[in-house]
Amino acid sequence: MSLWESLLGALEGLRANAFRASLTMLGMAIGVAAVILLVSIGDGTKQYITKQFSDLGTNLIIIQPGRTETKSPMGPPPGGATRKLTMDDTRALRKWGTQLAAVTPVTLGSGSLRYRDRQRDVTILGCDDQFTEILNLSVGFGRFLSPNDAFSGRRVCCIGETVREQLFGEANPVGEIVQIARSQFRVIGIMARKGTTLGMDMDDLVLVPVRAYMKVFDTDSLFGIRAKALNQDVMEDAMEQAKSILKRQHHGNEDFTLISQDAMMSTMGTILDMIKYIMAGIAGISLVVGGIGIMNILLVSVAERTREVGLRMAVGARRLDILKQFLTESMVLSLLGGSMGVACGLGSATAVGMISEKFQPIVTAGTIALAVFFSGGVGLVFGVYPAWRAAQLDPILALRRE
Amino acid sequence: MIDLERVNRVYVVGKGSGLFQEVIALKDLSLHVESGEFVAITGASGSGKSTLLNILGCLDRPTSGSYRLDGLEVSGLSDAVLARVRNQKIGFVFQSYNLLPRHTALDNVALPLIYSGVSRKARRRRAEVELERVQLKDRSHHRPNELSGGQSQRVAIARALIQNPSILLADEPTGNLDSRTGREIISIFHELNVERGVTVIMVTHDPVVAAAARRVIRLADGEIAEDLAQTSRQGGVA
Repeated sequence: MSLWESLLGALEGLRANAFRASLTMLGMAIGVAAVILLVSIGDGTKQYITKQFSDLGTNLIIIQPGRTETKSPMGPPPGGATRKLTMDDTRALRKWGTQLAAVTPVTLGSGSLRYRDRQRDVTILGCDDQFTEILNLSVGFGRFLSPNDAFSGRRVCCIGETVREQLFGEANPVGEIVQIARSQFRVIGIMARKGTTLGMDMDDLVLVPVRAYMKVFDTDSLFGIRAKALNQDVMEDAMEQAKSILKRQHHGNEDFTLISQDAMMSTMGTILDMIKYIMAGIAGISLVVGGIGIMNILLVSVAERTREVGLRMAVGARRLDILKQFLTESMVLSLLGGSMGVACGLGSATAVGMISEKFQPIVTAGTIALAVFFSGGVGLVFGVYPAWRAAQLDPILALRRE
Repeated sequence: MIDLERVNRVYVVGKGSGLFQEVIALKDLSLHVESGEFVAITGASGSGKSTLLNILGCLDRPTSGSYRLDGLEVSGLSDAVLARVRNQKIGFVFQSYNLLPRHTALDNVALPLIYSGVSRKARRRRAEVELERVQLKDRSHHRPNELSGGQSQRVAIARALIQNPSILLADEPTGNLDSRTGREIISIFHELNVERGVTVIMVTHDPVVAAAARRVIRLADGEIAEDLAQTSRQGGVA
């Protein structure tokens, strides 16, 4: 009995009980659709977050004060720093860091920004002229902090789009004086809209020269240093170089931590993959439930068609032929259900993509192949027992069954 | 062609309950049937008729003894080989026709050919020829529930004959039919026997039907009680 014959036979058998068969397939379809939808959401989340990281800038090296004994790629726990990073460290990196394209000190705090009678609480970030290059920012209007501003700590600032809208409305803010922590700053530029990156609203920032920040907030330590390697190939070298420069600066102590963006991304990737697999596993449970449905319906079918099995054996069907017949039916049920599931999964993933703007579920060919492969596997596994039962029937007893 | 020698068939009833009991269905039975014979097997119920027919049809194996079919010792063959023997050499006709309800008459007739790897097209062609022989060509595309009892049995006969088997085994073939239709079926058997030389072995408890055969074997308690060759057929056949 050829495969094609078995297939036609199976389809005919299913058509005879079309409603029952479609209910069984529905179970399978839901399982497959759930797997596809959840995996595509997992993949979409990963891509979304990966994009957030790469929006931070490429070839980014993050330097934070403090040293963790265990190598956490997410940086040292806060508050554990023994020695701060300073402007001297930044200068040293600039001077000796031949593998670094740009280096900027970063200070971070929050404060209120006042313009005339309006006031807004914002994140205030101290940096210097190379900050935009490292973090892929650009100025929408006016100009960014110049090397001169940075060197002299001039009281100028660049503001984000949100800040501009809230404080100035339609008015042109460039040249206006705003007040930050009782000091007056002149607005020199407005940053181009960037959106939220890793939970930080880049449009709700006020950027000031780091020296001005230190004076106004009376601090001499940095939040951290951000640097950019010349290119992807020298990333490792650049990290090593930065490390040795800073170590010399700190009298041989490695009381700081360097994190490459790659390391952060791969850690996040691992976590996100794990979440994805867990979700796929949960969806996989519904595949198993679908499989049990198939097994149940096949057992019923075998019982109903006992006489048919007996007759087929009497006219020359081998046990193997009977086994194949029912196994094919099971496979057809699960694969047809699976294809319905693929359609539903694709449909619902598209729907999710249409509802949310930023986030897009990603359905890969691999995901579909996996889902179809599993639905076929489920059909095989759960079809074996009923098919085996049918094949083991005694033709004499089977023929006598009413 | 058929050689049964000291065949026993013992069933074990109540297996595993501790109270099992052996039932002897066939007792030291020896039987020889020549090619081209028309044999009726009669006997009270429980006399072993069906068991004998099942063994002859290779659906069952003797507990002991030997069964040679066309010189081939069948009792030691595997399930798969027996299936092949059934497919090629034996045609079955049952009391309740056993047609597949969802298949057309044509597909029912063609069923045995599926298991010998005949293509769909060739199957149809041969099934049509066979249906024509039982005068049901116009019913090819009807399903069993659209056929009368006599028609159903004729479809079943066409199915039994499609592989040109040397033996036709019938188990109460007229049991579900009225006497006139029954006579028609028996006359088809007779024709097959005479014209195509098919060996017919038929189990029946109806003496009128049995009378159509040229040899009547009566079983009692798993043994042959009577083996009569009838020189002339009496009654029954039109």
